[in-house]
Amino acid sequence: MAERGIPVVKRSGLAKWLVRLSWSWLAFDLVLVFAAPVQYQAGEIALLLLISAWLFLSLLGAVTCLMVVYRSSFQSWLSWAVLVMVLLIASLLSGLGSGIAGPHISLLLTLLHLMSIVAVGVGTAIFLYYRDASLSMLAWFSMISIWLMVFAWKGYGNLIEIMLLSAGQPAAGAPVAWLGSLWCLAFWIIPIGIISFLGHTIRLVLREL
Amino acid sequence: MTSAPEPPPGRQPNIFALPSQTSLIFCLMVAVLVGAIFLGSLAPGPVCLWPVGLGMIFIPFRSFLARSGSEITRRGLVPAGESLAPLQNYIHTIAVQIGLSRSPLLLVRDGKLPGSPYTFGTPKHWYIAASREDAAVWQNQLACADSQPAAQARILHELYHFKTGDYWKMGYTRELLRLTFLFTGWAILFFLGWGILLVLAYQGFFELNFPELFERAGAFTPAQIQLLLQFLPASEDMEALRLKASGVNFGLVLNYLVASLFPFVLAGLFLRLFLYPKLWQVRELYADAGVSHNQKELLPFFSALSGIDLPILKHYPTVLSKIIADIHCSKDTLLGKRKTLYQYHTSWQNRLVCLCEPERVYGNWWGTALLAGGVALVFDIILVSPLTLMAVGDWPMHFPFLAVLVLVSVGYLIPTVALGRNGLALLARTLLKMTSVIVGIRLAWLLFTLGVLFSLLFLAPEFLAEILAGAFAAVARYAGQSTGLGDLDIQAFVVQAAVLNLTQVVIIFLVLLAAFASMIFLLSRLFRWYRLPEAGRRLLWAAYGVVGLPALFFGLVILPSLTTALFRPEDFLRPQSWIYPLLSLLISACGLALFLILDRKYADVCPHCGERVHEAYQVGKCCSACQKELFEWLSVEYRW
Repeated sequence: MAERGIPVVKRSGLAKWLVRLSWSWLAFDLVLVFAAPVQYQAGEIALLLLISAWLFLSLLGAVTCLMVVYRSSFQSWLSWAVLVMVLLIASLLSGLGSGIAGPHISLLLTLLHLMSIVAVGVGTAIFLYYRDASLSMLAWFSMISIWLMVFAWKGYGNLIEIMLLSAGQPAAGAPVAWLGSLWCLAFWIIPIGIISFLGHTIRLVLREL
Repeated sequence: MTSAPEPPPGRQPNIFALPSQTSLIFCLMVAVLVGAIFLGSLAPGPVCLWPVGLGMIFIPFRSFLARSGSEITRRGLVPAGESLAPLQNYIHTIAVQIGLSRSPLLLVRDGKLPGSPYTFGTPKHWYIAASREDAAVWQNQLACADSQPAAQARILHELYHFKTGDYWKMGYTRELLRLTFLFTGWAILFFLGWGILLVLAYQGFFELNFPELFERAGAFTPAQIQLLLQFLPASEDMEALRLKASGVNFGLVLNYLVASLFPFVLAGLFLRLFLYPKLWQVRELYADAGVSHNQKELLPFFSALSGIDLPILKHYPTVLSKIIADIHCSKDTLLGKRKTLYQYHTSWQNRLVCLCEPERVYGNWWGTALLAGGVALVFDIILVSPLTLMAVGDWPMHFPFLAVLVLVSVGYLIPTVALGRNGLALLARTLLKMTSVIVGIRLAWLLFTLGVLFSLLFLAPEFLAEILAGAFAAVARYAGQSTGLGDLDIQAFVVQAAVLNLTQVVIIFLVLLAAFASMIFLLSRLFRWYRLPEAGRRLLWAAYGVVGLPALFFGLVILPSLTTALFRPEDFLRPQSWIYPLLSLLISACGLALFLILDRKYADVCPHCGERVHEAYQVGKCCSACQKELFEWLSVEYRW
């Protein structure tokens, strides 16, 4: 009768098992980050790739699992905003990390940044699956983005020049590194928003047929 | 409406047999907002408008469908449950009795529920929401013989919101107004930012030396640089782009944006402040009428409205008459009238008076005139926005004229003539006053704007020149481009504009008068077609067709000819200017001929005994020969 609201999540045995596995994965990956070698010989590239791939995929899986299991916590604007703030902070930290911290911390911050990108995507999908808020999100996002870019241009100068220079000189793009988060948000919000809008529309129409 | 000979005791006008004011106001609001957008899509312009128009139809409807779910979640409503099953069953029984296709589900909430009870829903899912306490009181009242009619009256009132369909008209209109405000606000902020960003980006883009930039970045090989440069325009194309972009004046773009959207904001405000409360008020009056039509008496609903127990009212039968007399005698102050304008719910006293005099739902002549004049003014303002001016600029009088003609004819003339409460001479005088008010509103606005123009002409001619240049640029095909005023003589332009606009006021006044006069004649004849077969089903549609005749003739024959003579006298004698007017004249003539033939066949003859009926119709009129009621479906009986 009512639209999809906040469901009461009854965690089945499988869900509990997945939660435990995901947290275990995260703990293991944290250990791996600090235990992994810093330098690699020419013949150890495969090891490097294996560790990188494992870290990326396992973190991706763990974050996604945990967010899906705890999806009831991601169905409000506040929780979505928190995810966006985490993404912003993670992007800032990963930009700073390579300069001020050791390789392990730098790797950790980079992985945190990657996880936050995934988390925002999954969080947006969960939020817009349960809430028919895609139009609001697209409208607010487009308006805020435009004005952020205006202020960025006024504050930092020619953004085209900065972004092209940052391709070879990361430090050149540091002041506007947060713009990357904006593109990331756009990457998630626009397609998910459109799919959510269409999906909820179909649901509403089918309910009337 | 002024009073005339009273109908026979107990017989009241059946307002459900006449044009629905709810539907009229709803159609008006949609036509103003959505119609204007579609009109604008007929002409070329920098913005493609028809997707916006489609969005303005579809998205409010989607929001309306979604709202019932969010209403349930937001208010914490749940199905009534077993304890209120008798009430739910009773609602179902009554719904079937009054012919509803489905019965609404009763939803309740523990604790206070603002507005309880109220209705909402979608075409497939209907709901009545109430606080659990109210629902329990209803259920108890239904179990008691003394209070059962009053409780039934409350339930009938809610069910009639579904029967008349006003639940979806209200819902859709609310979402349409909300979307209009949200969209225009978003559009202004977004496109303002977009414009500023483009100006910055244009300056930044053309300042860059891309080959040097790619080298400085240090991230590309020479081959990659050459590849990237291929994606950029050639230097000649870049120069052409730079020249084109430099011709765009950001101020004019901003001017275009504000000029395009601001009229919709004004129109939305007018509709929200005046028509939307009126829609609320009118829907309640129709639901009230449904109760009295069903129960055949007023006392139960009066008991429900006032809270006075029904046995007391029955014991003192003059209470109701005295209250009604007091209401009639009370003088409504100007402040009171203004307050009523914005209220969503009229007082129970006014609702009671409307039950005793149902024709009050159509309002009086000055209220209708103010409404029609306001609508015409809103149309005037919207249709000079850059979005629509290119499409309708050649026909400045048509849309406001047609809107006023249809609104007054359907919303006032048809009910007035049908109810037979006014003599024709009185009606003609009333229409003269109405036309004066309607045109007077336009004239007042025109005099104000002309006053401003002339003041600027004499006090600040350079500033006026800038404003006019901006106005011309705003309707240019590509917003932001300006060619200035050229060798335009501003003084002559302003004088000519004043003369043309004042002439239009006179034309509209005379044409409206003539149109209303013809409407009175045709409608008064129509409502003597006693012998029309299945009159109950067909007469109202015939009335709509009759309204269409003068609309067609004056709107597509007279007005185009006068418009051409006024604005394009050089085209007046060209054959192409006469194709559509002549075609419309032909259709109007055929329509009139058909009307006269049918008038000869059906008018002034009793359908029961075939004898001549000489007098004009009024509610409750009977044939003098056989004493059977004429147009019996136009009246309904219920006791005071």
